[in-house]
Amino acid sequence: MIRRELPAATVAVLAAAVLVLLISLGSRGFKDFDSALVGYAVAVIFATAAIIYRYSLWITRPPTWRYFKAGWTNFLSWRNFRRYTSLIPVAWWHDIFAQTFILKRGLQRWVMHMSIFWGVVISLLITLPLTFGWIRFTLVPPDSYLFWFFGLPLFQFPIEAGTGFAFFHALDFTALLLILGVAIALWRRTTEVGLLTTQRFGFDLVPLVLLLAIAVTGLALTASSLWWGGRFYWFISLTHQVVVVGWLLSIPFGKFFHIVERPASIGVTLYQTINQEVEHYGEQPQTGRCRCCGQELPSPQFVDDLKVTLVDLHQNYDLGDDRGWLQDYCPTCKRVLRGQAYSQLMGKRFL
Amino acid sequence: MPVKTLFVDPSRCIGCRACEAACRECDSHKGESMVMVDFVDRATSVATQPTVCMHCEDPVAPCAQVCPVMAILITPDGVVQQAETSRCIACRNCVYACPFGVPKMDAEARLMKKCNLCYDRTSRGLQPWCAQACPTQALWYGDYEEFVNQRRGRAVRHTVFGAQEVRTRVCHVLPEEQSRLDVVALLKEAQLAAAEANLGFAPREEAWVL
Repeated sequence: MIRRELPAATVAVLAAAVLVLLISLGSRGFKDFDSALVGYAVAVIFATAAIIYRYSLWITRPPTWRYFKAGWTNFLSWRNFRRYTSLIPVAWWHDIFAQTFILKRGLQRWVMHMSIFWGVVISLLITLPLTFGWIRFTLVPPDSYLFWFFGLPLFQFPIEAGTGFAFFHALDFTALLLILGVAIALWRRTTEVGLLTTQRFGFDLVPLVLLLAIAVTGLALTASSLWWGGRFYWFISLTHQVVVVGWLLSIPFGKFFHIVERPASIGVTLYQTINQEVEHYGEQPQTGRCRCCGQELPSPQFVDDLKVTLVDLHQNYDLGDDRGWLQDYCPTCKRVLRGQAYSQLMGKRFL
Repeated sequence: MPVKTLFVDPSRCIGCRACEAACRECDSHKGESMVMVDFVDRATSVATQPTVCMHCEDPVAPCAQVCPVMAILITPDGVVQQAETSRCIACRNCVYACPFGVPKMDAEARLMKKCNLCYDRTSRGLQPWCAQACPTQALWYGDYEEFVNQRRGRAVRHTVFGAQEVRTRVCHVLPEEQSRLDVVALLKEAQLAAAEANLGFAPREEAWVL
């Protein structure tokens, strides 16, 4: 296998160092850093290093590297820049924000995943800056708070009004959204026969349990401070921290790595749409043809890229003479070719 | 413990498509068969061939190797699974890289689907649906010893596509003297035989289906 080497460990340490630097800058030299949240911050730094390490290994796989390199080269080329930039919002809408492809897999799945996705994303957008000391609030007497971000005052809002309530309970709302999504997911995974037969405990169920534990312990923190007079608060906050840290450190290893892969692989779909004429965001003419039956293949560029990738993997499906490569044939013709070879071998014994 | 696998014997296939019907019943890919039954030469013969995933061992799963997002996972016992739903981006690399023409693509749902050897059943010692349903044992499930004791022919794991030899977990059943299925060499033989027949060197067989 021809594999490009990247100093993954160095890149990971560098990424972690950049994050530490940003935390230091955003919290004004750790002045605004909340030491009670240090466990979360350290876990995020470790998780960042681990994710970047895994990411570096991932993109150096021959097929991924080919798309990574070709995608950036084409994106930064003058000829394609306009097509890329006009397609990027479409891709982000379909693949990330609205996840329309999941809707095609089923409405229930879509509601489930949208709830989990937005629950996690909004929670992270709130908690990460809080953890890093990038967000803080200062009292403006008599009844307002000033919102600071990255050491800069942004806006002022009344504590008791709807804005204040929404701000201070934002994580409760996202926890409820997350619980809704996880509940649907767990319902599906305990009732649908297809899922029951194929799911794996560590890969499919543990992530859901982790998310549920995060949401429930997070809500329990609010319950403790609002209704239980602070009882169990220390225990709940420690449990919440342990679960969150576990979740953060699990991102590079299991199902959650798709949080990184999905946005990153938009580069692949953009390259394929623009350069290989593969249909991803609406119909487009397929210019390739099967060498045998003439059925549509994505494009000659797609087939050529695939052949080079296979060569990188030390695989050569050149059939010799004037037969071309096996990849020049559609799947049906590949099967029929094999059947014809078998027929030649068996003669009248075939049937 | 002996490894159980599928043994594919196209010479026994009668084209009844019971395997396809049984496969469609599976809840993990509702209503869609992952087994394909193809006519070998529709114009002149009723011969059919069933295709299941061969679960390539060397090179290990070309479909998984060309996947840019590592969506195709392989179990420790060498069963190549269908694409992981959270990762597959429908790039179609697997569809066209597969030497056996197995993966299917649902482009709208961004999902590749393929035979996973009924992993839910085979991991518990049951046979795959296709083998269970096949009336002629063209698709037969068992281990090598059972095959030798119960079946005729030679179980072959090597298929040659021109310059590339592929060793698979699933076996083809060939005549005893054959150690591999050399697709290109056999196609050349067939081409030569057809040319000779056209020039009158050999008696041309009548078409079976007109």
